[in-house]
Amino acid sequence: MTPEKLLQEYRDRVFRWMRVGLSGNDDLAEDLTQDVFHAALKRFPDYDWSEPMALLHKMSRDRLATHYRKQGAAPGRLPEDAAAALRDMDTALLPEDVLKRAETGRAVNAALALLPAGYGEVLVAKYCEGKSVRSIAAALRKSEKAVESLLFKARREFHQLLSREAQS
Amino acid sequence: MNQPLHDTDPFEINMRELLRRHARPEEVLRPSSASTPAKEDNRVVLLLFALAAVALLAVLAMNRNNERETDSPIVDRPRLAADDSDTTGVDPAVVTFPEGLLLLRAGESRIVSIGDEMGNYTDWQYPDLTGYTLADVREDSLLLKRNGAWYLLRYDRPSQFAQYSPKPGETFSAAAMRHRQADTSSLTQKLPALQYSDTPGLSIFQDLEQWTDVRFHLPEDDRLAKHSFNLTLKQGLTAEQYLRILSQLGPKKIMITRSPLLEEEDADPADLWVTCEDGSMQDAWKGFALALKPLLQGFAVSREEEGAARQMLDDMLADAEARGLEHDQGWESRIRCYQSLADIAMRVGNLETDPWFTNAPYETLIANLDQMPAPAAQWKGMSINDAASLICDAFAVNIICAESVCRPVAKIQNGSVAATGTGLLRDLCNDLNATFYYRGGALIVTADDDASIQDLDTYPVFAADLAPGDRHAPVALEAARLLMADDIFRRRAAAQGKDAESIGASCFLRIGNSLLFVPTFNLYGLHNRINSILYQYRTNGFDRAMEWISQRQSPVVLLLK
Repeated sequence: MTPEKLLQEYRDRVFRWMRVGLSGNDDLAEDLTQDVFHAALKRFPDYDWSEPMALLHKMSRDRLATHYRKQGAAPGRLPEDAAAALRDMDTALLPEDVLKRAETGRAVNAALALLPAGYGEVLVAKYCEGKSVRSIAAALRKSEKAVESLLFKARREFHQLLSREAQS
Repeated sequence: MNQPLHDTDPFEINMRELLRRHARPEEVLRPSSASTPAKEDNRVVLLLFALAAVALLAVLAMNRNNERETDSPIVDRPRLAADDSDTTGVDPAVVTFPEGLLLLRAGESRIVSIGDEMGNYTDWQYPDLTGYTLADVREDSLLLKRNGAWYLLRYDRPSQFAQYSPKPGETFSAAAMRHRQADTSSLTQKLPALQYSDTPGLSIFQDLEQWTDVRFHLPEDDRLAKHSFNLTLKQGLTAEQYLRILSQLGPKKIMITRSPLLEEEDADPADLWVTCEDGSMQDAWKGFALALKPLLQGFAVSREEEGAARQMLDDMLADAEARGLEHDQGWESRIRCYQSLADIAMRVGNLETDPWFTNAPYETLIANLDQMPAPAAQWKGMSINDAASLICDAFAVNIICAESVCRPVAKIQNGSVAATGTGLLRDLCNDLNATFYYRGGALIVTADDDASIQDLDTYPVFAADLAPGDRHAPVALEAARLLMADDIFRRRAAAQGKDAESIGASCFLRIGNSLLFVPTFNLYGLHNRINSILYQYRTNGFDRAMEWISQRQSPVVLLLK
């Protein structure tokens, strides 16, 4: 990992995540994103960059929390049982009260924001718009196998990020 | 976690419920608000498409009837499907595919051009299709007809556009059009295509043959060479073919489109035009531009541009006079000032073609400033601060004007300043042992003599504490500190508990023949701002970019126009 690569690959994802956390305040999201990368690059050699997204995610959460502490008000957190339900969503249906919570929505969008390029789009096409793998493949001019592979990775990544978001 | 495939799978059901209820793709899948095209522009494009659709429906129906009446049935030729239900409710005027839209204007029974969803037509990527009639739209190609012969245009191989011999029994259907439109409508809510316009110098190279060895002009920087090479591959064209297309462009716009949906590991060179992220794509373009370095030596201002600018100035003056504004209200001096700036920029911009400047070394130009035409002399007589405030009014931007950098300063090296009133530059040069030179209508700031002018086209200059290896960093940081006397910036800094000296990143940005100084607190803001400004400029032109800047109240400094 190089500083340039870190910036190129992750800056937009961090920015989008910040924007979700700040309810669409672009200017503030921009500033906090700057702070994250400023800190990351300033001490670049000191960090272990084997999992850049995890590290940047933690730094971003810290900065967002600091921001809300200064403001004296922070968005509500998911109760532990709801967070656990999201973590286990591959084995059991989510209860209706978890599905309809605003905090769940925030976690969903925060996780989407952190996905690598292309993952979020294909998930939206599949689940929001109900498109078939075949039609997505045609639209992307890829093979169905490639789209299935993409969907698999996107789902897995989304689940991991959502679990992390739900617990944070 | 196993891969869930069925609707009975709780994970699948949960995913669908979560995303349908909560996902806000517009917010979380786009990088920044600045990248979103104006809604007004979208509406215009949609209206145009709708009008074209109505016309095309009528003509397609007419063509079908004609085919039935005049063509005898043969087995070795494609036919349009006769099932009218195939096109019911379909908008056949627009065919969407990942890299853009194909606009079919049926009123003239021909394909007009291929473009992206913003209506910027990338007709440069495809052969001239005037006179061809659309016969079929396929997943990977278009079938066209002209003078009784069939032609196949593959989306990924436009250079191989050629006559086509259909296989016996081969059929095709207009329903394919609906299929494509329906399946890709939402997926094409991608980032807008980047647009590169005003590519300098290309129009002057008419003889293509001399550029067949372009591969040998790849830049010394391996990374850039790789980008350039990849770009050529992805286009499915050889460098020679690419050049041939570019050289035919003249002053036209150049589009490079991309799909954000393809993973690198799955990439097929035939799938995409360019697969990079924004920054990388700029690299790719930069690499290509550097490969064409011999082409880009001259930064000529086109006659059209110069004519348009002069017309605008004349209009301003006429407007002021028509409104009965007195000279003492400053209108005339304001316009004259603007004229002078434009004149200087254009003359220096036309360095290699303007007889006045031909073969004149930079130092000589400065020494002979007094011999420049009257407007320039008039400009020279004004104070920088007065001129800056006038420019500020003219462009409605927040300007911080540093003395001397507004002047067409020639090469200044190691503190040896060849022009008057250049205290700031002299200080910078003395402190940083930097080189400032003026070229192509822009003031270029570099830390060494070898930097090419392209360095500042797309690369922001990062501050020292963020990118220690960047050779431009000390210059930019110091320049930022010196230029940050502006109240707006101070207020913004104070609001964030910072002082004006905490500027983390800044850069000089040359767009067209103008130079901007872009100060920001740190890296992301700089990158975002540069991208936004470039996007606005490339999409809507300089004036709209300036307007956008002023609306954002970004402390961007217009140093030279």
